[in-house]
Amino acid sequence: MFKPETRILVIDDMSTMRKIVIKSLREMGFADIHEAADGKQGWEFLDTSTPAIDLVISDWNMPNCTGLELLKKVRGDSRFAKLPFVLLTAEAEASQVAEAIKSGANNYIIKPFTPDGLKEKLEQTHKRLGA
Amino acid sequence: MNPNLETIPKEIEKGIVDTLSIQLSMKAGIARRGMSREQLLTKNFDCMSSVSLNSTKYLGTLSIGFPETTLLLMNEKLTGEKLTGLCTECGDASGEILNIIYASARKRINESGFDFLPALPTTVIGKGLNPAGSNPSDIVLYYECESEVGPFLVILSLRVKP
Repeated sequence: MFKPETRILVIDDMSTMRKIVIKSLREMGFADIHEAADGKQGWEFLDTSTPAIDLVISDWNMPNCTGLELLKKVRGDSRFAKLPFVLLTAEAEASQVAEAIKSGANNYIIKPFTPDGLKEKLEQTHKRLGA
Repeated sequence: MNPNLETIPKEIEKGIVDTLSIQLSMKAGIARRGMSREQLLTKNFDCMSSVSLNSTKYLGTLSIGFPETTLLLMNEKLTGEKLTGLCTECGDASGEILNIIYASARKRINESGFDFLPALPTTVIGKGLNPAGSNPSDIVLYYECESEVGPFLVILSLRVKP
């Protein structure tokens, strides 16, 4: 599993969903958690954050800059080529999941989800990274 | 072959129950289904969220309405935050609940042959909101829902595109 000191960025336009994810992450023992309200804000945070973010959990369907657009921007920047990126989505159509993986997502979480479901997906992501 | 229109209300209903039971760890059920616009006129809410439904053949809206007490308790269950009155955070919770209901139902609806587009919810907060303002040509179906923190209403309104 990711270490408790992992620096996490949670991106969602709905504050409720950010709170749900952050609450679950805190219950898992993470403390260094940051948030952004859309892909644009998320990019600005990633771009300037010191120390760097270790894990991004981002919603897909957001105004201004979607999670997928952010993912493509992140993967297009060599600094973030290996940054673990998990998409959080209720848009779980097979074609969309395939597009997310093709664009470089390390995993995806489908809403609705339970805290255990989120934990399981993060463990799976960590294993896949071989970190 | 045309997809079966009955799939839509059935999957919306599943979306309601799944969202409440998984995301809120809460038992919820549909107490009653109805189709009368007159009955809708008797319903008032303190917060309502809606998403536009748009596909090649159909237009409409999916809405959710909450009394204040139900929404405050649902928000607390979702986020752990205890709020004392209606506020932006409550509206956000209402929108997110509807967003999950619609998106999870939309996936299954589209798998059965429809092509509804994704949509973002809009929310209105205020005393005595009434949901009966839809187009008279719409097919309107409402679900009176019961949860362990109180009642709420989901309204599906659909019409064939001209």
